[in-house]
Amino acid sequence: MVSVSKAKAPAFAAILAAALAGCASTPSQNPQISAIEASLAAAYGNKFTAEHGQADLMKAESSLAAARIADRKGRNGEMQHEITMAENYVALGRIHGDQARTIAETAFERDRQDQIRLASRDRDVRRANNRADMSDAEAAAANAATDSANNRADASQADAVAANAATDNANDRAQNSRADAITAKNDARVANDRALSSQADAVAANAATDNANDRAQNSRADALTAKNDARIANNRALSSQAETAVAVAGQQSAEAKLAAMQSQLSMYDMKYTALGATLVLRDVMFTVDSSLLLPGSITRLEPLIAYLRASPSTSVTIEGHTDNSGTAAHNNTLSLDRANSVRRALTADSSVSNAMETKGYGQDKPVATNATVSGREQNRRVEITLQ
Amino acid sequence: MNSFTPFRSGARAARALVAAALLSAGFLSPAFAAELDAKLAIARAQASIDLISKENPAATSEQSFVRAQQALLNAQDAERKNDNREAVWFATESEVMAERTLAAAKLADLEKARLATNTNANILQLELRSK
Repeated sequence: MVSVSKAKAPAFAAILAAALAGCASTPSQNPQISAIEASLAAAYGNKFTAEHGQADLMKAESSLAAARIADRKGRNGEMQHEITMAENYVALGRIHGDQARTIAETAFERDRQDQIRLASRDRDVRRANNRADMSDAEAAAANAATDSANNRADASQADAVAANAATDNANDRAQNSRADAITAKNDARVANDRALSSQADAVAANAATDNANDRAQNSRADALTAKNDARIANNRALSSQAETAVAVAGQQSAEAKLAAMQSQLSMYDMKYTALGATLVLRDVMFTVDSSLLLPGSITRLEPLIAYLRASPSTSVTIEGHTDNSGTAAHNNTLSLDRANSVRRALTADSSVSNAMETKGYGQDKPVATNATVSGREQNRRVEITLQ
Repeated sequence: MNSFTPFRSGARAARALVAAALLSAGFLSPAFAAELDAKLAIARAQASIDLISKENPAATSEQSFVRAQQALLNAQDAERKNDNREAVWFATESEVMAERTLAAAKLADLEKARLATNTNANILQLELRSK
């Protein structure tokens, strides 16, 4: 076996092929061998096959040489075998060449991938750098802002320190104020206690005042009642005074009337009582056992009629009386009839409008004994009471 | 794969050398040596085909694999006919066809990887342009 480097293999193979061809006295007339020769030459013409299928092609040449010998010697079976072997070795060499080419192409594609990835990374790096630049700018701006903020923070801190100092002072003052407040609170508590005590006293005083007020109210009520009573009493007194005055006036009037009556009725037999004045008319004015007035009796009644006409407010009570002659019932009727006769005589004058009442007592109220004639004359009478 | 199969030259020479040594020593007759050579060649071809069937089943549908199987059958048939020389020819043809099948399968895998790498590169290129 001949050892050659892979770089020199194609050249070596070409030289070897030429040598083999040269060894052959004449080109083969066998078309199968010619076809293999052409195929082998074409295989050597391929760079990858010539380099990476070199061993296979050499085997093919060896088989091809053996085929030529067998062909010249007429050993057809051996020739066919060697042609088959040469054909397969050429194909195997091509396959190995194609493998190498494919591996190379794959490597090329991998390189391309790497380059693409590298370009992508470069671009990413550029973009990242750009972003970094932008970030740097932003960072610078942020730093500036931070510095500014720090300055402001310093100023704020100074303000805060001052504020803290002020706060401490305020706290001190507040503490003092709290102490004062506590003292004031205690004072207030004491004052409150006092106030409570005073309030209790006030409540008691109020209660006392209420009691006093109640009592005063009661007293006022009593006073009012008393006042009313006094007023009532006063009214009553006034009324009494008025009544008294009226009574006095009435008495005076009565006295006047009585005086007038006494002067006007002086011709009658008069007797005076608490009820008024009573005129006594004897029976001579009537016929015996009759209620008919005698003619002269009307004349005798005229002073009374004149008095009654002048004193219309004077009420008149006319009572008839008899002696005990006759029955009592007869005497009662006779006495009442005689009283009514006197009443008719008094009211015959239309100007007399006094109130009048008649009564018949018969023999029940004698003023003298009926045992004597003069006594029976005194009992037969008509009494007219003026009020 | 850039392997150099030795039995076409070195291995065969070694075997011939061993057979010649055994023959001169009187241990091995020429006929037995040829038979042994055929059996060894068939065994190697069978091992190559079994390896493909076991580790790369997708390659069993390749034309080269079918031809390798057919060559192995021919070799076994020739051996049965005591045609040891032809059995060795078919067995070595079967073995190189199996090797060709394996290489083609590996090439297909490499092509897939290349295509995937190319696709990824194109996608990356598009992504880069779109950014």
